[in-house]
Amino acid sequence: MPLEASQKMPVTVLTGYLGAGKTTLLNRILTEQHGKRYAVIVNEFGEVGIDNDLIVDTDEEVFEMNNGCICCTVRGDLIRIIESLMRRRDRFDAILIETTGLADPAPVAQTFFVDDDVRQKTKLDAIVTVVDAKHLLGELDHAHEAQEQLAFADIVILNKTDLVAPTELMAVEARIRRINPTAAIKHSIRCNVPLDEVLDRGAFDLNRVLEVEPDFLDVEHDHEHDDHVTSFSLVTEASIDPRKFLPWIQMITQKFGIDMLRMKGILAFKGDEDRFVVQAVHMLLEGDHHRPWKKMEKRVSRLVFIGRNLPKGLIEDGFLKCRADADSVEALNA
Amino acid sequence: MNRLANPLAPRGFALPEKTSQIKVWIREARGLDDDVVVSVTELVCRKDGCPDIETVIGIMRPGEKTETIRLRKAIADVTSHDLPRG
Repeated sequence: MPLEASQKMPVTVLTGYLGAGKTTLLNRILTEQHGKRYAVIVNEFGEVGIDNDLIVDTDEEVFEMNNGCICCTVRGDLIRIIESLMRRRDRFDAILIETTGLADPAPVAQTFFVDDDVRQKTKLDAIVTVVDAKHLLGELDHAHEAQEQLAFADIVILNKTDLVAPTELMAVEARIRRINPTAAIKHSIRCNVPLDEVLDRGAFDLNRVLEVEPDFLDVEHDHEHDDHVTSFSLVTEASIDPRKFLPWIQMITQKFGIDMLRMKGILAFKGDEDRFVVQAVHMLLEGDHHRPWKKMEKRVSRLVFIGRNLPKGLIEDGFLKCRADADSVEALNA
Repeated sequence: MNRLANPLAPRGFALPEKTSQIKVWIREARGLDDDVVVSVTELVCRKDGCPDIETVIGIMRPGEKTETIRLRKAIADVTSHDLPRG
């Protein structure tokens, strides 16, 4: 029988640029008493000072999957290791994947949506990115990897905050927000963030999309940096016509998916009492009805896009044409 | 209200045993080593001209391009006879 969502093995992905503090966090998770046993997939076996047969060493094997409809990259090594780990599933409660400092998180995330064996037995819980408050701004200016790791994050651990002045910390946080306005940012010194704020977050659960920071979309950002990865949000209080929106968002995902790192949104469809939630990782798009709109809750439709050089004007124009009161169906042409 | 069919609905699950079985069939049919990764995906494609549902098998050999096999049927309906031999 297929497993219920609650029975699936949660997987946390730990990313972060070189020296940010990933291994410090990993060692905390492995040694502290939090009642959960982790199987860990690491890249540098030697860095983890713990000998345990549930710690598996791997080399990244990135494969492109292109079936004409959906192009994506997946990590073949993860498919193989997870298949093997799941034969011993009674020995641990969750899986943690530590990526290299230069890793692209996209193939890791997409692996959990592509292979049905992996998808049926596990669920991607959250992508946690550790960043060094002292060095992040310089890294962002010079390394696309650092920007993409931030872009994919559900949780950003802003580490080593004791090494920067409060004004510098604010600047760092503002830059993180500009790249990724939806991630929860946790300040830490030596990764001393409470582990329950990092683990078991359900960030990819459609029921929890955009619930991390509900006010994030109301903030306008300045644009003095020419970042490789940027974000923008689209908001409308007008009801959305699902007959326009659903084909439009599929077309956008198909057309711009290669550069669309993550997309999340909540829609108020005309005449529909329930919120409709969407999310995408590149071309992998899913959406479903969610809880009913609350009585006093404003029926606002919101979409946030994080990506590389996405045409904001074109996408915004298409989105606004999906309003139920917009009389044309030109939205389909974006 | 009458809702439209949701084309974005998260994919349902085929029986896990069937997915594993397809992987075994393809390994046997192609004589694949353990270092070759096989992935099996059921896709609902929304493009005109594509089948409503298909099973996509990816054969990932180290250092090579992924070989893709597309079957115009759901995972549940795939049999060993559908799989091309190496």
